[in-house]
Amino acid sequence: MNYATRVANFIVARCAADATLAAIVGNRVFAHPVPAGEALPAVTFLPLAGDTQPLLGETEGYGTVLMLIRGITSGEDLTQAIAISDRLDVIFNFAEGTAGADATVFACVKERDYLQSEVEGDVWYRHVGGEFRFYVRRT
Amino acid sequence: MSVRVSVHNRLPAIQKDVTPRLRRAVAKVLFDILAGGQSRAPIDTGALVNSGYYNDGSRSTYGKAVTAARARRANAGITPEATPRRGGSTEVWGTVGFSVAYAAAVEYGTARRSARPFLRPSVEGAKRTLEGLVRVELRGL
Repeated sequence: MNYATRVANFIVARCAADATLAAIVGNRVFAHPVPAGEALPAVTFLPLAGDTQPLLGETEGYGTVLMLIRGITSGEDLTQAIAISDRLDVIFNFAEGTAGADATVFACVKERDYLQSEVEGDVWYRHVGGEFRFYVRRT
Repeated sequence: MSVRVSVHNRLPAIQKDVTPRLRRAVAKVLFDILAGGQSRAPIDTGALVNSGYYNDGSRSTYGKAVTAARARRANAGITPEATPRRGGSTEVWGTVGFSVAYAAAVEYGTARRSARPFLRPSVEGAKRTLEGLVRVELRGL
């Protein structure tokens, strides 16, 4: 099972279901990067690492996926990016639930904060979010 | 009849021996992380790969890495050496980094450009290695 794709489903569904986040980013939740032509602010997710943990007597127990989830905004002001990041914490830290038709996220823990700034031309981009470790098993 | 119980306190000797053993384990894992990161890093000019360095607390390869990166891309922006938070004298630490300024943009992407994570996956893989190395080093204390 490809756990990263199940976690991607989970992230998109949870973001779409959260009215507070949707009020900021609309439906702009993407696998990183933000597609050309899409406006900001947006949320992106990026799998950084993953692992499969076999259980005794089984070939497949559960998988872990380390996912960087961040809000990306344009402009020097950090306020909006921080608001998105805070909401991502509420949505995903200690989250659990179905991840597509055949998988379940049974734990999720934020492991690290993430903060990055970039300047392209005269435009600032702020990235604020965190690395979340998702624990996933086949349903 | 009497019983004599004596206790030999080896704790000070063990404590003295633990730190160098842990340093050895950390040094090995730093090298693994660096090698893994370099093997995953995308290669264009070779500056990114060559900018990788480690510091095990007694030796830093930062200067050498900066020279090697600049040999590949003379105008590459360079970031300062990463310095870890230091705890007490018994703490064993080390750092691995890539000194070219665009390393973070490659690892995590930018708003509009794809990411190519090369260091983080290596760190994840090394966690298990470190557990095994520490176990081996502490055996026989």
